[in-house]
Amino acid sequence: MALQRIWLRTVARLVPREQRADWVEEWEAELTARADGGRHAWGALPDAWYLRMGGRTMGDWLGDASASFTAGSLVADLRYTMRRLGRAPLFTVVTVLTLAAGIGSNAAIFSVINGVLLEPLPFEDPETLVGVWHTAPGLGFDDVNQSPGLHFTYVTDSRAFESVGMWDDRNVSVTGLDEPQQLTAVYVTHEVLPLLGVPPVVGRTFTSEEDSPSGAETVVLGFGWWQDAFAGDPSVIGRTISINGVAREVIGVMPRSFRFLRYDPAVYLPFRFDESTVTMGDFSYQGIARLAEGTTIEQATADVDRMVPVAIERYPGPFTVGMMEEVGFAGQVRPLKNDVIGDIGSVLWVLLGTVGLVLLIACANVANLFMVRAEGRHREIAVRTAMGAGRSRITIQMLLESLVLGIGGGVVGLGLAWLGVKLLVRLGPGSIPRMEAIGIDPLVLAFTFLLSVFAGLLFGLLPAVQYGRSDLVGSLREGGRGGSEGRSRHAARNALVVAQMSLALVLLTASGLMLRSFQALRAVEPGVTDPAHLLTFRVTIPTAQAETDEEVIATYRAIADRVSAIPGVVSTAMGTSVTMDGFDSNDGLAVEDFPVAEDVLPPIRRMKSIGAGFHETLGNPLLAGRAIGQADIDDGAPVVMVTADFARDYWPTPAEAVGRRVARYTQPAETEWYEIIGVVGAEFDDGTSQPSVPTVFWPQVQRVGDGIRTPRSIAFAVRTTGDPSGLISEARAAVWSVNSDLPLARVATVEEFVRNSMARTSFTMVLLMIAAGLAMFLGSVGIYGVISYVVTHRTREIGVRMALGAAQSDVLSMVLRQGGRLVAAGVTIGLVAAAGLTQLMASVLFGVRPIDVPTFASVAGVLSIVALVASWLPARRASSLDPVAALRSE
Amino acid sequence: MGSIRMTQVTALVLRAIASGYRYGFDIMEACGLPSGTVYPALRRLEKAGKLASSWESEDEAREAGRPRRRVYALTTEGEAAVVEAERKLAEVQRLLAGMPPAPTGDA
Repeated sequence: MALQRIWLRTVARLVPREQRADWVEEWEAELTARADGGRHAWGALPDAWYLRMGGRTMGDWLGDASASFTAGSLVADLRYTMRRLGRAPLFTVVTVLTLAAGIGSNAAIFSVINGVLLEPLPFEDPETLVGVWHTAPGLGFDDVNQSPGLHFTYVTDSRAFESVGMWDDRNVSVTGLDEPQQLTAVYVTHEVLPLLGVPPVVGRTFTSEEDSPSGAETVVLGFGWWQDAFAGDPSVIGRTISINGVAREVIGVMPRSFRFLRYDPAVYLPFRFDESTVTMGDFSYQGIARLAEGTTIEQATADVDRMVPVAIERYPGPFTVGMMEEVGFAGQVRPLKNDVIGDIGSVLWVLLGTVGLVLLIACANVANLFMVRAEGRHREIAVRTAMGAGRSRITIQMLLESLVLGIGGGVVGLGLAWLGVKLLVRLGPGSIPRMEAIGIDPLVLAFTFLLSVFAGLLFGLLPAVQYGRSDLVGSLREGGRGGSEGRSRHAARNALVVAQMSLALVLLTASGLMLRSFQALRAVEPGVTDPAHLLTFRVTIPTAQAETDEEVIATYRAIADRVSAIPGVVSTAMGTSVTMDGFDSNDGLAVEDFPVAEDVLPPIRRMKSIGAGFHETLGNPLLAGRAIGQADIDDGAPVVMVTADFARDYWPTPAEAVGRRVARYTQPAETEWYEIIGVVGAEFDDGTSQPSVPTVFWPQVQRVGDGIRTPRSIAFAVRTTGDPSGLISEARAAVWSVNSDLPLARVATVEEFVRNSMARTSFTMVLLMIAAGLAMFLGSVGIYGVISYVVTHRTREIGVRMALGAAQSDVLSMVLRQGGRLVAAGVTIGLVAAAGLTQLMASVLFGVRPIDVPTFASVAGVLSIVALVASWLPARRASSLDPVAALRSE
Repeated sequence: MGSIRMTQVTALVLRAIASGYRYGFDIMEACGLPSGTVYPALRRLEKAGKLASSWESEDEAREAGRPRRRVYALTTEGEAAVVEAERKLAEVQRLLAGMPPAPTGDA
């Protein structure tokens, strides 16, 4: 009912004023008189149109229009339009540029959406490619990765998959070239590359023999590294390169355009699993598959569910079928595209909505310009009508003009979009996947064209309807001197300005909320202080370089000593992972005070192994107990540290955790308890926008029987007094002075990790702020235009008032009041709209609610001030008029 | 007020009113045509002087328990137009009756 009412009131604007009240009453009575009245409500539009057009139906109008629309007349109309636009260069340029800004920003964001979300993955039959995942809600994990045991089961037993593969990304070191290099590698089972359906550009991919422990050692190169290291020489096939100390024969090169999902690795290596030793556990790999013909994702998921118990039986480990059922372990097959693009979609749609609003504001501005211009043509139109020009022909000419301008705006906008896309690609590396797929393609062109036509119709239709009717005599009479304009035209222009103000307010609110999110992210203490003075790099020691763990730890020590000796280095520490560096490792944990039943899976926790002084160097404060010291490491003492959030998961205060014991989850008889000796602050290891990660820190060296065990890949953290980037080459030299075959990897400041974790928020914020700034500017220009226009039109009236004794301040406040009313209406409507629309942004906000009173209040204040200044400028001009000159005007 | 083009729509609308339908939506229903077609036709007929419209009385509306509705009635001129409308409709009927069945298969 309410909707019908709004519809009738809207349509009623078309009905001539003197008939309007009767018209609304009649339609309302008819609609309420019948239960199914709503079905017939649409007919109000043709009826109102008929009345507006002085007795011509929409059908008549369209018929006439098409009749007058011969090819010759179209060309003539076009020529006429061009000539008219050429005579008003300022109007044309302002209109085209305003539209170009609106259309261009839409085309730019749409090309990102098109490339990232809509474009199919560049593989054969991409819609049948899936990511094979699992889920274990009982453990609090939405996503559980693939494990080798499951992989081998799926390969032999699946009915739903045509082919199943497993992959993972790693870093490898390459030696024997000019200098040792650390490179990104993707490890694959032999099924993976053929499954994607992209053949290598040179050579071949792995055979199943090469993917087994007994086969020859081989490697496939990525195109980029092939160019960099071998200058694209095809004779590289058959050459041997040393990767992680193992000599491997190059057998193929992947094509230039080939990306492995999100990665563009230097090399592809086969996993070479020994099927007889794999277990069901070890969920650290990624599953990928191609669905068999005619199989759905649901069928594939059911197939995975069927195979999980088979895998548990076939590859026995610590898990039982009962345990898996208890945690709700189940298959989760989903389109491969999800694995590639992640959750960037929500950000992009918010941005498209944003720039859509900017375009509406731009259209409102242009519509206003058009109405002012059409007013100037009033007499001309009346004369042409009197001379026999069809009304529809005149309307078409007006629409043609707006379409020409719309398309002009589209063409310039496309240029802006092209620049904008380049800027976006530069602004958001890392925060947007599939960057390489973004560009201006036919779909973007079609989108831009449709948008231009839509914009042209949108801002052209209002003045066309406004002036397309036939108050011929009135126009001729009114067009004389100093005629005051019709109220309805006034109202339409005011409505446009109010709409602009409210749209601008919505955008300002959205960007304000993003700014607050960004501030909230910056305020998080991530477990690292002063990350800008922290250098980190990774060293991996293959067995070819150091046979025993004792040698490995001696090498680490030597490196740490050399690095600490560099002038400007405050302290050096090491651990398997530095906060937020992305090397996360999780495992089952037993807590002595909280035993779990034998057939229940233990909680999975983030784990790191650290050397002495780790948290001190990174700057995470010790909250209780003591830190792991060098003596603990040397003795292989059974001690651990935990984060405060870990401690609170079990005990009321961090201090109470000290002295309790935990252990890696194994068979109960083999449990070796480690005592918690210290508690540090929370670690935001997954980025500041994610929750903190409860973490257990083991000593870097652990006793196993008579020997010791230490990880073979370690991150060094180096606290410096000055800019750490100046120390990179010295750090590298220090590492190579210990062993010249060790490459440094992931050389970065911790600041970069922190920044990357906020990249998406800052990217969204910057774009929203640009859009909101543009919106506010266009809105202010709109209100300035309307008030200026009113002042010009009322010049004589103002002159009379002043001659009769009105003071300057009276005139000033009179004009300002008019602007103020528009601003107040726009801001009020905008606040209501923003309250509804910002709910859609909830997923991209952090630490701030969609309805945040301070944000709403401050943007409303800012917009009001800017808009009032924009209307104050013409108001001041009005108040300083010379009454005599004003009276003489026109 | 002069003649109007007697289309099938106009003819149907005139015929419906002549049969006693008075309200816009009732006429619409009687003609079996959409409101967006019937209303412009009503406007045209009224402008041409074939119809006169007025509001029903408040009492009438109150009795029916709804807002007052607009009533359409034939003018004298309209009565004459009905004759023409009947002729038009009869012509349509004749056409329909005499229409040979469409040839089957490809023409």
